[in-house]
Amino acid sequence: MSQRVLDFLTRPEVWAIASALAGFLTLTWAIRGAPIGQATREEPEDAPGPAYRDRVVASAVVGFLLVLAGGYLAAAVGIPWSLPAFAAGFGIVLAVLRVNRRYRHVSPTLRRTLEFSNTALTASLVAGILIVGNVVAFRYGGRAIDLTRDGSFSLSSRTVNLLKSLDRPVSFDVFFGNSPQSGRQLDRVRQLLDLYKAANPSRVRVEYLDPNSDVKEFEALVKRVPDMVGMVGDGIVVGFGEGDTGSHTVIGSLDLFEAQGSRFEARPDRFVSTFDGEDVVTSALIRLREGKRGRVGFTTGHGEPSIGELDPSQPGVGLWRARLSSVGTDAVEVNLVRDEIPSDVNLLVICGPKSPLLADEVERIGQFFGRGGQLIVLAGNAEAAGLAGLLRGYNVEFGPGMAVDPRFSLRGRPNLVLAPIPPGASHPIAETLAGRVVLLPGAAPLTILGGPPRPGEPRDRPPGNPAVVASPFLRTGPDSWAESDPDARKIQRDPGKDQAGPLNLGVAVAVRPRTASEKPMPRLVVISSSFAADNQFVREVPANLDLLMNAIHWLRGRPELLGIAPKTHESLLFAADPGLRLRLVLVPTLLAVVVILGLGATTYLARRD
Amino acid sequence: MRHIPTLLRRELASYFLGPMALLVVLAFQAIALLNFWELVESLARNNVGYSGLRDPLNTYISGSPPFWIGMLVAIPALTMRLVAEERRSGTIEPLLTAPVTEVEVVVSKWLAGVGMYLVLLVPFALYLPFLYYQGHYNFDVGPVVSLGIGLSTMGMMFVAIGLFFSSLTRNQIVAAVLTFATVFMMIVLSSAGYAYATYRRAAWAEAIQFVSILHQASTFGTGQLDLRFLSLHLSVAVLMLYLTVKVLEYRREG
Repeated sequence: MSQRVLDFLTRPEVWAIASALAGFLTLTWAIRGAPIGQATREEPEDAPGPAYRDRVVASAVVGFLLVLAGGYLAAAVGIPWSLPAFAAGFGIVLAVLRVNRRYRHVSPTLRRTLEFSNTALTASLVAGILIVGNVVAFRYGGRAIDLTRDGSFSLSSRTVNLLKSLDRPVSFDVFFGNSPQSGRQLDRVRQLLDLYKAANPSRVRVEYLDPNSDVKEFEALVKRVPDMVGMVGDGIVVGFGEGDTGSHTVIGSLDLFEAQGSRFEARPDRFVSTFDGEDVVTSALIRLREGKRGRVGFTTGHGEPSIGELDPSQPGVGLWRARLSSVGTDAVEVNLVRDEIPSDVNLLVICGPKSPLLADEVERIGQFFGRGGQLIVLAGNAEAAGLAGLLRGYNVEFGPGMAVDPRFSLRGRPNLVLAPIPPGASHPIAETLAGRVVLLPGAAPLTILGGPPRPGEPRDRPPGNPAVVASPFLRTGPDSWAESDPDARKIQRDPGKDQAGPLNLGVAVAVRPRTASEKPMPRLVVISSSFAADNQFVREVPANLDLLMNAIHWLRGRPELLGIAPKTHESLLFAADPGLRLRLVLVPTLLAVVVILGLGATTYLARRD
Repeated sequence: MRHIPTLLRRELASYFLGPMALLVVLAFQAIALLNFWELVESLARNNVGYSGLRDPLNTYISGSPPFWIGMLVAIPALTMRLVAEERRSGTIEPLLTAPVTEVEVVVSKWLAGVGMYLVLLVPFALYLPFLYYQGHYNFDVGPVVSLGIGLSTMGMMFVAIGLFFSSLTRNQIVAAVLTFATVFMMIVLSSAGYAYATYRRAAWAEAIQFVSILHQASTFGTGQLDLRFLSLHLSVAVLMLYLTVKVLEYRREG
């Protein structure tokens, strides 16, 4: 019984009707000058009778309450339902005003009623205009202006366009644990996904799960998305579409955050974290919308690092594979000695072979090129990869020596060269990474054939292939050189022997178009370091992974997937001694108190005089 | 509108020539001191964050209970006397019979109230340049600017509400209580309502979140200058000022 009463009392209609009744009684009392049931003051003889006056007061109040009811219906049920209430309310108030205007000088009650009606009418109109303006601003007002330094509350136009053009529902099931780090990372993820939802609220759904407390929901999610089995840590399940036609992909937190940033960026007074979330999530969405998973082949059989190794502290390229997987691309191993390159693999990666590829293997790669395949080579000149002839056909040649740079290098080790990507870098692979650095351990200088020789390069170079065009996209700093004796105890430039920097460490090759209307066809990317994709170095300098992903997207002719620049957040630590902290608190306080007391004393003295 | 500067001087003088305003500013200075002290200690702790959401500076004012309690008390205290006191002392009659319009009277009183409100924010802002330049703590200025703009428009709305209630009665206490109740509802009850709506997964959760002052302040504090909130504040201020003008017109004719 009590539950039924409680249910009844918690219904909004009950409250609306009760409020209307209370409003009616109060307003009628206020305008009449006496509560209902009590006689009002005597009025002049030529004023209308008390019964008529009460009817007019009641009509005006009912009209006003109907206008308010219209507002309530518009908010609670819908604008069409509010129109009759608005029409009746405004009609009654207008009629009261029109019919009783002639009594305004003879009846104080009716004058008050007319003033109330007039004020209620205009105030309702002003309020209505302001409410409509706010509702329109709320629904179509767009995003807030982002005043943060790192642009935390902004999405790239690419992401916004993608979200606005969604034709199927998208879901984000976010599962983060309850460790302090998970909590802090979840803040950032939530910040990002709120922006995704705000861009298209009707299509985007975001749910948050704590695997430790929402056990049933989490198990149901794992059942629905088998890719989550065996996954370590936190992540997001991105779903595109619903039911049987829906598809999913899983993004791990390792792909979203570049943890502490690069060690060389770290300073004791700040914690730097780089967030790749928008790039990774938008790329995953694009892939899911396309509805098919791409495949990338990684050659094996020559001591290449394992694509299955996910431990960041172990040699391998598992982190790159995980990143590929998060954007809907599967990595498969291809042994060229044994197998043909699968027909559904259009992109092949040769990453750090320890022994030269055999002639048959190189021939298979040539055939692969013949059917339109594309290649990424990550190799230096420390171990012969057996690709010299193939690469020469694409106007790329490994030069002698090892790139070293005493200035731009990791931890002061000149062979761990850092290649800065200057602002305004024009090649699509590097464009979105402007201002960042890429780590290329043990890299070899690359020579582009066909062009005019650079200072220090031999003048009798073989001519280039006119059918292709090779463009450098990665160069060392100006203080670098190609060390001809990298095993020497002390690395020092020998001007007679060592080629001076900047050195090309990354070259992209495209086939020239036959006609002016066609575009160059990307075919090959060479990065002259066997270790550029290695887990350990990718964790050290996350821009490496972005560069590799950009290389893949450029080869595939997918400019929309070329990375969205990551956002770097700096948490500052206020490293001040207690004395300075005390001064910072006390000096402004004393200053303010002196000013306030001074003002008070001046005022007192002035007023006393 | 040409009489507004004269009327505004009169209103500001009535604020600052009495001890009330200085006492309120002193009280806010004390709150700002405690807040800043807490902020400096928070910033000196190990602050590892992946976003600005947990940055102590972003919650320096917007997440400070003493600041909001101070506001709950200060706004009624500053606005209750604006019209009610004039009605009680009888100075409203000469004012309304002078060749000034109700709009000029209301706008000048409102501007004076807003000016006084902004003075209350100065103690909080005072410390930040010291922190930036003297402490060499190069914090993100954007959220501070955003919060400053948001709190200013919020103040315009609060003062307009207080002015309206002050015009309804000649009793300052009644005006203060009505203003306090309204501002309390906007600051505290809206947040509680949002928490309840979220718990019940109610459809109106988003709507009540939109009008929740604490949510708005938190949004501004993180560096998002949401023009919809500014529009809401200014709309309510305009409506309240309009209603106040109507009340004064009614009084003049009545």
